[in-house]
Amino acid sequence: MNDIIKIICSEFKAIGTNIPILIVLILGNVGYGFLYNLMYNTNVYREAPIAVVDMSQSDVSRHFIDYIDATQQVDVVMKTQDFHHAKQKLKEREIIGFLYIPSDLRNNIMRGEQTECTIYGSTLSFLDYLNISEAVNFASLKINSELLPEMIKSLNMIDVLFLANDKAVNIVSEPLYNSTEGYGTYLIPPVMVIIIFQTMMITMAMRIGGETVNKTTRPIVNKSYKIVLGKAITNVMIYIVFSVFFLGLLPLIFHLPHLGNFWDIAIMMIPYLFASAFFCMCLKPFFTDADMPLFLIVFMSVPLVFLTGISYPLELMPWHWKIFHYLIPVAPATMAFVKIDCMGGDLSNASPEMITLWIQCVVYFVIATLIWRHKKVNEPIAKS
Amino acid sequence: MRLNNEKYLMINVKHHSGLFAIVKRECKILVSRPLYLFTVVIFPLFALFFMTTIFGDGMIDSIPVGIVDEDESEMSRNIGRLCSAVPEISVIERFSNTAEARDALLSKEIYGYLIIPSNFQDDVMANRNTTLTLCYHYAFLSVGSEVMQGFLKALRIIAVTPLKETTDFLGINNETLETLASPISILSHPLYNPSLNYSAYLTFPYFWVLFQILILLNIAYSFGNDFNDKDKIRECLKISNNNFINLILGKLFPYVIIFSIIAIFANILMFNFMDFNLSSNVFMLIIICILFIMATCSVSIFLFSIYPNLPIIISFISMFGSLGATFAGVTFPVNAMYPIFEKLSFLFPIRHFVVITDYLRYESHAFNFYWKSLIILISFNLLIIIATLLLKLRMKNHKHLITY
Repeated sequence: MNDIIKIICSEFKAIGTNIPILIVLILGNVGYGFLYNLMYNTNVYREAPIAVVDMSQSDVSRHFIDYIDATQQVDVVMKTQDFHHAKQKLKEREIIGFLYIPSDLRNNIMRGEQTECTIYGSTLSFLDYLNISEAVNFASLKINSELLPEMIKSLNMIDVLFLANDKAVNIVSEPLYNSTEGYGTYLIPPVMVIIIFQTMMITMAMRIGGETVNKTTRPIVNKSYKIVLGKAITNVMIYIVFSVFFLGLLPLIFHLPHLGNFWDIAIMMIPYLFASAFFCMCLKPFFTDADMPLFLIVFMSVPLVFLTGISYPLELMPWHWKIFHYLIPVAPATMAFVKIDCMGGDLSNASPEMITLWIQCVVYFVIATLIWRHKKVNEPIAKS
Repeated sequence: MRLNNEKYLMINVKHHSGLFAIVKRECKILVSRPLYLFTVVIFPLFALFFMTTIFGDGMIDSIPVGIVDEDESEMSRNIGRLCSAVPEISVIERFSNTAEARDALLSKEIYGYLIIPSNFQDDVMANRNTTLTLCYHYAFLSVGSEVMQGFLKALRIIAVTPLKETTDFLGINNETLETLASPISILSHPLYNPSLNYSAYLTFPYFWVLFQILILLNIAYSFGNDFNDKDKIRECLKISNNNFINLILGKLFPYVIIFSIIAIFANILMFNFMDFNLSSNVFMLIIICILFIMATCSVSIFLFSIYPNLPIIISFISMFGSLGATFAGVTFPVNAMYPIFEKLSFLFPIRHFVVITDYLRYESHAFNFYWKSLIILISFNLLIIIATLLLKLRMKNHKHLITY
């Protein structure tokens, strides 16, 4: 026990006196935390600029355009009768899409025929396409229900106007777990969990790499499991503070979804932080100097977002990437955190992830102990 | 003094000096440690492999969903069948109450569910108001919106069921009913990516986001290793004939060549073998990629020259590179962010690269639209000049240069 405490003290000392590590820990964590939140703080992408090519120029088309403009998804910035002009504006990226209303709209309605209006939407960002598609479809539902009596008249059947009074089945769609329907509230909570993992990896790797190169001080301890435990506990202690910052404070400041029970999150974080620390120590053979680990870790930041299964469903990934989801602690932890804090679930809902994390904890601890025992011979003998 | 110095160098260095010698030295460094094999070659190829395979076939379909059937009528079973017929969703479970469905949603067994209220069939037959509620997971935005669209597609016909009851009675056919119910029908035409394929959407830009992180780090690391070591910088200057331009270009050259080869391979793989859309010529795209590689190298040297302390600048560059994923504006458009972030995005070569390649991939004769971005991308190379001056300045003052 004494040995572990000795290691913890020396680790704190080493980290506290290493300027680059402190910079990553403090500026990196705080900077990243605030920056990401600020970048996505507009949260919802609304009033995307679109055009309408209105060949009909009738009361119906004007009414339809008003309905479209009234939605919060888009803003009709241009009405024209020139298809090519709208196409040009789309190419210049001044609009994200346009709706084409054919000239025979009014006549078709008089005749009781259907008119096809076409959405030309850019898919350069899927959010753009979603906006124009939602807005136009929503407006069409509204105008269609208004046009029903007029259409029935065209049937030329006596006494069928009562059809217009037939009730339609209402369909109400209710998005769950993201009350603002925003992009920020969807992306940022998982990103916070990933940043914790990333910066912990970076600082631990810088420390381990630096230790290999610079022969820094570490008390002589024979049992490798004590070294592994001591180092892990140090980092877990540091990251408890940052976890409170990322998962407790920032959601309050930036109004992120925050439905989870404090103790559930705390219980989930324990295996996560330990598994991450042990995982990092297993990578020791790759950390040949203080800077190299950054390559691997920083470069993995974007793939990690995908591997968590937040942005693209895990079910649709090829099997070999699913394996990675279960190998890297951050992936199940992010999923567990989203379940608990964004969806308001409890630990039982996150039990598959919790079991994965505890298994990772045990396995990585054993591997780390073996690796650190194996490397002991080559390690610099340090002064106590 | 200068003349003496040059004479001294000429005697000692003989033929092994100048640009070519620096290139040779850099190549030797690159093969000296297996580490470089990983950072310069294997990681970029891994990024390519990751981004081309992670999305499977790129289509979000057959998403597991459930139906809460409180009615248990013929009509509610019919709704179930309609939902199963839509490719986006697949009904894997039927629940008897909402609580069960919610629990399945929380455990991520399903991504959405439809509630059919009790007495649904009776209400429809009796022409009373009735509502179907569709709940979908929006903590997973992309999946959630697919689920919603899938359900809406299936339920379109259900919405007019009461009307259908009457029109059937009057002998009005289904086609007329469809016309009556929706005099304006909407035809969607997603430009550039007609099937809304995620792989076609994200693979190309995100491979480059990952690649630029590696380029930034590799270059800063290479310069940092030399400039943070008194002996090494002395050796470098000696070999380069005390010419900073030789030194910087010589060090960059092998990297640009290797990265360009990877870029060519990536482009051929994506556009010739994976058949992603490409309106322009693949050669044009490769040229833009090489320009982007050069611009990214320049930014990396520039950032390094501002504060040539390896560990600190590497940390900063890591952050700069990761922010590229956001500022590329691929998933969340930059103009939807605060204006300050939109302006900041102009400092990132990846932003301009994405604009140019979007044009090249999807529009023909697009030069008129992207030339401004191209000029900005090329101008990033001017940063090399500033970096050279800065590093030269720092050489005069060793205190700043030698941080170890």
